Amino acid sequence: MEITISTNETELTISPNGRIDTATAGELQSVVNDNISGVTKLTFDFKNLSYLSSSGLRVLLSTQKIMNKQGTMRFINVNSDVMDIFDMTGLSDVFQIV
Amino acid sequence: MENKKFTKSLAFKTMLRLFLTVIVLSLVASAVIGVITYVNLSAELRDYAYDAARKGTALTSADADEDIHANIERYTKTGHTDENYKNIFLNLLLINDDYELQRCDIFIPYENHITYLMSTTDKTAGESLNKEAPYYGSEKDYVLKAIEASTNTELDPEKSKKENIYTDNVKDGVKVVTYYTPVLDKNGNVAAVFAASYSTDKVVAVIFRTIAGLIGVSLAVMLISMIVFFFSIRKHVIKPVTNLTKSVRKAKESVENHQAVTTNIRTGDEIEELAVAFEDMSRDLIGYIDENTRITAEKQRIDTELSLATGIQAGMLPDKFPAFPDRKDFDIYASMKPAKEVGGDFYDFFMIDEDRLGIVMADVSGKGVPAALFMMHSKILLKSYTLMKQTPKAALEEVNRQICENNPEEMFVTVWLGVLDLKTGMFTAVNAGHERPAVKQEGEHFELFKDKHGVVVGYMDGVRFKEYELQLTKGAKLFLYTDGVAEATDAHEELFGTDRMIEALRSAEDKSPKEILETVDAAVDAFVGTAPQFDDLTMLCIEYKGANEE
Repeated sequence: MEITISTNETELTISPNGRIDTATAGELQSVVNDNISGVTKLTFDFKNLSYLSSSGLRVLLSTQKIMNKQGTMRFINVNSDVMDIFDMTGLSDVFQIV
Repeated sequence: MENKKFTKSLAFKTMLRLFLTVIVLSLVASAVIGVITYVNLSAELRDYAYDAARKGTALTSADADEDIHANIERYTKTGHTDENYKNIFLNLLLINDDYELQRCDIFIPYENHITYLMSTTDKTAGESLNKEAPYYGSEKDYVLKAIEASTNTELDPEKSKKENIYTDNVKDGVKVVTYYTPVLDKNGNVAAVFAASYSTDKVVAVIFRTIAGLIGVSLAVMLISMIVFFFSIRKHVIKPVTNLTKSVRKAKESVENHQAVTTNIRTGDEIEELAVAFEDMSRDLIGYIDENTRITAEKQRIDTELSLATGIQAGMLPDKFPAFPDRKDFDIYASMKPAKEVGGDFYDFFMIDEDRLGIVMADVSGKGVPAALFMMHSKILLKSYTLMKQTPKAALEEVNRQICENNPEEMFVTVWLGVLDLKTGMFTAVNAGHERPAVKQEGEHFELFKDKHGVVVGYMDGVRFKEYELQLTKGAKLFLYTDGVAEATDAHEELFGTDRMIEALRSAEDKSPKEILETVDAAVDAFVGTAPQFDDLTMLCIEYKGANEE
């Protein structure tokens, strides 16, 4: 998996490419940890995400908790497979999905 | 034994190479020196023959009486010799001896042959007189050239040496070089021709003697050098190498005993460098071995603990089937296959009271030991609160509160929790972010049941869950599973998916819960093939047979 990020002052966009599973969730976690400070608008671009495991969900949930305190977090380009996972886990109600 | 063999072969190989080198060098040197000797000797002998011929001619002319021409005519006509003839013959013998010539001849040249006036092959003076002999090879040309040269008063000796010498002649079966000079009478006319022949075999013999001497000296020098070299190599190379070899052979033992190898090789050259490098290596090796031993021990400890943990975790789940042998109103079967030693999936079922059965299917985020720890916690809470609160909604909301209270790692768990009223077949359930169950009502086929979903347990305190009801008909079956089934992945990263799962379920839908689980498990195995199991594989199936008829 490759993760590209782009920042614009206090806006941060994270675009994972490939699978987020147990093996790669840690990578996503460190990208979030390294860049989240001072961010008020966080966007996850899931255009090139092919799979999301429960380990990945955990990272997204903890990120959501941080962003609840310092700004907003949203998801864009969520494909139907990932949307199913969000629906199934009840997180489509928690996350802001555009 | 082996050690000795190798050492010998090193000395032997070095000696052999040295020997061959010296042989080749001697041969080349001998050939060069032979050629040089041949050239020098040839030139020297040519000078020699020239001198001999000149001297012979001079003596012949001086000792002959004034009219040598007339004398010769007289000798040849009468066939008688005189004192004068004998004097000349004696001179001829002396020159022959002095110059170590093969032979000397004085002869009278004719058109197609020569007749001897005298010859050193003649033991008694006068025997060869007038004896006829053919010209040897192109001797005649040289004789004529010599006669012609006599008319040239300013004869250049160097030129004469080249032109009046016949180098390719054979006389008496011996290879000879013959020098021709004319003998003149007092009027300056040619009376006879003097021929001095020396054997070239002598030259060859001298050359062979020289070369033999050279080879002899070379061999002697070589032998001495070899002996010196052998002892030098043995002392400075072979012995240190042998010592080093001994140290290397003992290295395994030393290193195992935590002793660095000491070679005691102080030759001050590359061999010492090698020995020191080896000593350093043995020290490093001890460090690595210690480290490795420690890591291996650590790993063994973890492995042992993990295998104990696997046992404990498996023991937590109800795994004795049939689970309720005296209940005829339902049949239940479940299995869990963790991807690692310990997993995050779990199922549970338990009687709440005589008529109600609680069923749990859950999946903790992540895998391995952290997931297993969280799973234990969750499992105990779920069972306890279901028994305490009686309804899935109330139980799950309390479990969620408890988990959120102390969840520093922000783990979560997806839960399907249901309570089945065995009298009525009514399922009351809550789905907290878990996979949809598959349901088969009597006379129908397995279908995914699109139930209401709530958020996962552990995400946020105070979450309200929605409860729903599902009426099971007599003979209905409910299949619960975790994402390890739907997301089992083959070598091409394709997911097993719920469609294939439903297909597998339908293929065995009339069989017992146990057989249904085995069928799905086999289908997943066949799909995944050789790809490693990525996620825990957990399934549960219950068949509702209806309330006991009493």
